[in-house]
Amino acid sequence: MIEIKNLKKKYSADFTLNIENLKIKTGERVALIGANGSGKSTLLKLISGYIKPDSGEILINTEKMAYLPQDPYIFSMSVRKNVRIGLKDNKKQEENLKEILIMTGLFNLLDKNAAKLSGGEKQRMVFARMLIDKHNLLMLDEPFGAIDIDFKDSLEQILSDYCIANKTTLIMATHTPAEAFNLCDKLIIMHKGEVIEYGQCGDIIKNPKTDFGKTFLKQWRITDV
Amino acid sequence: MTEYIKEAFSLLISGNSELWGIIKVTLQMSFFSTVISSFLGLPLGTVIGRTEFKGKGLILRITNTLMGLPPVVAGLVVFLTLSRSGPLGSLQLLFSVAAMVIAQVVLITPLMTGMSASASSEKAPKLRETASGLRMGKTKEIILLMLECRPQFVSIILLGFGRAIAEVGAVSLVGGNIQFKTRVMTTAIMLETNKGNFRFAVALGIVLLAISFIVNSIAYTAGEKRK
Repeated sequence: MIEIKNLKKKYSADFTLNIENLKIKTGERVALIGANGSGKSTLLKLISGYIKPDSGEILINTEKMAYLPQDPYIFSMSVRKNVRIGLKDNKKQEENLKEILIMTGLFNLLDKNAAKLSGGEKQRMVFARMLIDKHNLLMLDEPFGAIDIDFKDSLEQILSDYCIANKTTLIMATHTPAEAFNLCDKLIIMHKGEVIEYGQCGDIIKNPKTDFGKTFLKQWRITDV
Repeated sequence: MTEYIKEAFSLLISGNSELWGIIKVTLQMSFFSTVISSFLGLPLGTVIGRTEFKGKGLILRITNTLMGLPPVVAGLVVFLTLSRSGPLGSLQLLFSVAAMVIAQVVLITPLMTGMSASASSEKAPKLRETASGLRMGKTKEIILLMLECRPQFVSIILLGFGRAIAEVGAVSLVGGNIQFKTRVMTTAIMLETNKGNFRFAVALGIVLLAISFIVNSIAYTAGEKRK
């Protein structure tokens, strides 16, 4: 369970993230949508603890969590070492490593220097790096941006299976409607640092409460609005 | 000039004990001062480079000022510290290789700190965010950042070594240029030139150039391998 109360964080000259109250239950999968600069990334950084709020609090009742930034760092070492870099006990996860690398189509590149991978391969590798361990909460900031079209569907499926198997709560910022609806059951629409819509995907699509919500969903070409 | 060079080579090949003694002391001093400065300067620079904190600007300004510290001033400070009436006078280190190493460390550490802070600050923000996302500890993150800065750090270490081996003012002050004890290549070149013994001075100059060439070759090869 994640509970946010009176959260405030100034994230640009013009905008302050301002969330009075937001609850995300364990095992829920939530898509964060909104225009560029609406505060999606800032919210993920705050929940992950990477940045501190100016005021307010975030209560997280979860043991293990991981946050995947929009532009993650690729270490100048082999794919194998990159994928295992976050593990505390390297030996334990050898079987997981093989499995995750096969799933992400990286097994043949195991010993290649990760810095020399293509953009799509790097993105798959950071997915593998995150999914090799079991997490109760995943926060992903536009995770499918550079993924090759051939791998996108299978990675979505891997992520979905992972969340179901581990009862993982997922919060994912995205600009793509298909990603949001394929992976998430709830939707948050953000605008100028505020949560303006929050609920089940179907409910928000059928009945957005705000004018901005309607306009935004139209831009997304969601015809139910 | 060609004659001097020929004579210098014959002096080197003949195994002149004083010449080789000077080379040995020079390499010892440069090696130890570079190693100590690397252990102090590189981690300190990395920590400064990766973190945003109050007073960082001031620390960087002080470090940059110390990077341009005139060697004789560093030598003077170490001299006064190690002299009999100084705070560390009881250690009786003045006019020893240890004193020269201390002076070199005072000179080189700010250089390594400043340059490693600059190198690590470029990679730090992205690496920090990723490390934080994977719940790595601060120590692991700093070690990884240092490993990622390896190519730059190799150049910084070699630059430090180059400064140590070529330095004359500080080592002359605290070492005293004592024959068979604290005489190094740079101080010996000055002395022999003043005495008119150009043959010996040129021989030392050739060795200095050769070491500099080897050091640069290592740096170049290391850089090429990482491409």
